[in-house]
Order: sequence, then structure tokens, then C-alpha cells
Amino acid sequence: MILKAPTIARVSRPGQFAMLKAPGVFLRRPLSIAGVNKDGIEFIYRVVGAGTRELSLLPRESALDIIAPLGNGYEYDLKNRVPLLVAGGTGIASLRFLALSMPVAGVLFYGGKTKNDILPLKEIAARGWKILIATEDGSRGHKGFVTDLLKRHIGAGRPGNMVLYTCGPHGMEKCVSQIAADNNIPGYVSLEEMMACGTGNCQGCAVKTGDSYKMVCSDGPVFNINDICF
Amino acid sequence: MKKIKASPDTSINFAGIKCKNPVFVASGTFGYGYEAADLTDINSIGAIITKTITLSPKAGNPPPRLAEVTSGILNSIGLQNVGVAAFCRDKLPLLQKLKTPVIVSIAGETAADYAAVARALNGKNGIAAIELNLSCPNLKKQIICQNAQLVNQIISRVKKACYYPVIAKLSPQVADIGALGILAESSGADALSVANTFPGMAINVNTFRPKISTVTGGMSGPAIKPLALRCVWETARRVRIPVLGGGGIATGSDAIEFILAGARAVSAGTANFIDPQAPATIAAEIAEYMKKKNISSLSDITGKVMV
Repeated sequence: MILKAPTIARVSRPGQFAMLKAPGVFLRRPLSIAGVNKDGIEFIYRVVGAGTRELSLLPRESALDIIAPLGNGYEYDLKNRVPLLVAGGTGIASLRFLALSMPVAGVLFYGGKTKNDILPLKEIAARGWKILIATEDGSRGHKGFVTDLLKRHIGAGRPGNMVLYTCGPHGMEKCVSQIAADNNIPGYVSLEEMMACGTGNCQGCAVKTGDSYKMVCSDGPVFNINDICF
Repeated sequence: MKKIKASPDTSINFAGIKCKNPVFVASGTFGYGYEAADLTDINSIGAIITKTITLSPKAGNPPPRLAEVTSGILNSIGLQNVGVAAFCRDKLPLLQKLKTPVIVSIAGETAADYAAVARALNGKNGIAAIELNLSCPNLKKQIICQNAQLVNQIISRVKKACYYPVIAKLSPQVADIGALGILAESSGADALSVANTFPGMAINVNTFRPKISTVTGGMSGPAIKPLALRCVWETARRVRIPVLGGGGIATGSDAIEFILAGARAVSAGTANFIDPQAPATIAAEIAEYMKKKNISSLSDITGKVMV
């Protein structure tokens, strides 16, 4: 989905999100910004419930009430490290924007349940990124988890030169966090949580960090991967 | 948003607090009060009620804390807040810059806790009143409003501990909310806030698990509006002190219903999550209604439902 919103497009950074008012559902829905172009912002989402179903049924050129950009976004002062991006399912959305914004190319690990979950990413490949794909049923790329590929890549390389960015299902993010800790690689994780407001007021999207709860919407959605208690 | 010219006078005096309009933001729906400055004109709000402050910091409840239900939400935040010392040090200076009156919501487990928070706030600039949260449904102990003796002790001790007007926020989960209002009034409350969220529950049928971590939570949003309106009507006609009415208010028409039921002021809560400009829009719609109906002051229609 692409929305025309030149001002938001100009100020949005990878990792930030929007709260969209879908017709027929009570709360706004948070969606990661998947990219920007000259006068628009792009979204990649899966229909999982009533809100995303309503969004998917909107006719072309509908007007949509959104609040954006929200949240902190990814840090990408790479300090000469090679970025490794690990995406699961629709977690590709914010990492696509990140890959398209980074000054250097790295490796994108992209996993899904089947080949139907894997979107074409020609524009990322065209920027020199190496894209490694895994599906749980083996219908495309490696049969198994995307984290298998990540472990293999790290084992064959120099972890001291790497930095991790991940977004996807909880189990995958937890595994990436373990890999980051085991290999002493710095990393960032973008989290997803049920939100009512997206702006820090409702305090609904709590995530456990160290000794306190932080808010995914206003403290995140991107966190240092070591800070999250998975 | 519609712009309304030559607005009628929507200003009110609520328990001594002068407000430019009767639309407040409910506790727990507007952060500490200043965070939404980028998203709305905070000075367009009648009064801000902060999230609830406790004596010691509270970490809040584990996630998931929220579930969407039909026309509303269930929440169980668990009064996450920085505690009164950090509130006075870090948050209050930011609130002191606002022109809008600020009402600080407070809670505790005992009357002594409430009095200690009130004492810590006493004498500070930038506080127009204290709201006593006697009605949080998400703490391990019972809802305070279900213990009449405790309600009486808390109100009378807080009144002694500070010079601010004291607003008692009542729970709808009691046998007779009108009688509770009378009790709060006779204990010394300067105003009532009616009501808090209604205890509710939602279950994920795929996992068999409750949708929020504490199993039950507080329900809010348009779904509870008729329930809250009934509470306001039952209470306002039995007390002389002013009532702040709230529960599911999202439009000017919703607000007028509460005023007709006896509310001197109204609060927008869950509506703020969807539209940070909801209070300003509701206030503008109230003004538009007054103009259309040729009403010069809100006091002319307060409690004037014809039954």
C-alpha cells in the first residue's frame, strides 16, 4: 500500500511507524513504514484481522487518517561494520526501508513459512545487497529457519565486523538475540506489541527491559537487542 | 475539523477550578499531561488529569496490557508511574508551563499512602486539584470504593494533608453509586468523578488464554457510555458537589448527554487514543450545540434531563 504524504515521506526514518485509522474498527492500527518515495510512504502488511482486512479492501485513491512518523527508528551509524538484516514474514517492512537507506550494502536474511511469504526485493538486490532466503517448508531457499543461515554466515565470517538488525516473529527475534549474545555482535531489534495510541499515552505496549517496562511506541519500537528480556 | 466562529461561553467553574471549557482529559489517557503537545493544542483542553501518581514508583503490570473489544478496549496497565518524588522533580516543571489547569490523580493502598502523596504535592505551583483514584480495577486488592470506611478515611485524611480541592473518582462496580457519592461528599470531597472503567474480560479462543495478563481488566470506550451515563445520573441528583462525568465520550453530543444527566464537566478518555484532538473537537461541538439551541451558559442545562 502506498499513501501520498509528501511531508511524512520527507521526515520518516527507517524503523518508524504509522498509526492508521482503518474503517470499521475501533483503534488505529500500527504499521511499519516500509519505504518512502518522492511524495509517498509505503507499507507492507499481511491481513491478520479485521483492521488489516478493512485496509486491504480500501479502493484506490481512498483518503486515510494517519498519525506518522512515530517511534525512534533504527540507529545506523555502522562504524565500518557490515550490516546483517534478519527479517521474518512482514518484519521485512521496516528492514526494507533500512536496507534502502543504508550507505553500504550488507546481507539480508529473509525467512517465511512458505515461498508465498517471500516478497520480491529487486530494489534491494540492485543496491548490492546479498539476499539469503529460508522457508520452513523448503519451498524456496534453505529449508528451515532463517536463523540457521545467520549462524552459518557468522561462523564463516568475522563477527567482530558485524552488526545485526532484526524484525519478525517473537521466536525468531529471541533466537537472533541469543546469536548476538553468543558472538558478541551489537544489534537492534524492532518490536511489535498491541497498541491503543502509538504515542506513549496509554502505556499499553509495555515490554520488559532490564528492571523496568518500556513502551514499544515511544521508547522504541527499535531497542538495543541486549536490553530486551525475551 | 470544523471551525466554529463566535463561540458561546463554554467556560465553567468546577469546584473552584476555572476552566475555559468543560472537556477534561481522563487520568491515564494523556500521560503526565504534556506529551501530546506535538499532536494537539493542550491549552484547548478544559483541564488535564494526569496519570495516577503513587508514593513509590510502580513498574506496572506485565504485557499484554490491552485488548480491543467491540467499541472499546480492556486495559490493565497497573498504574505504572514514576512515583511522587520524581513526578515533582521531573514532570511538574513541564506541567507548570501549561495554561490549562492540571489535576493530579493519586492512589495508594492505605489512607496513609494517599495522605503522604497529597502532602508531597501540597504547596506546589501548577496544581489545580487532586483526584483520588479510588476505583482502579487492576490492583491485586479490592477496588477501594467497595470499602466505605476506607473511602471515608482516605478523603478525610487527604483533605487534612493538602489545601487543594479534592475530587473523588468513584468506581461503577458498587451496589449503589449514589450512596457512595453521598458518602464521599460527607467525607469532605469537593467534587466527584464518575466513573472509572468497568471490570471486564476477553479470551483468545485459539490459545484458551485471557487476552490480558491479569485475566480481567478495565473496560472503556463508547461501549460503556450508557453504563457510565446511568452512574452520573444516579450520583449527580443526590449530591450538591459538582460531578465530572466520563465513560465512552467521543463527541459533543455524548458530552451533552452527560451534562443533561447532571455532570458539571466531562472527560474524554479512550477517545484520546484514537484522536489526540478529540477534547478540542468535543469542546467545539458543545459550543456549536449551545449556539444552535441558544444556550448562553452550560449551567442552564446541567442536570436538566426531563424524567
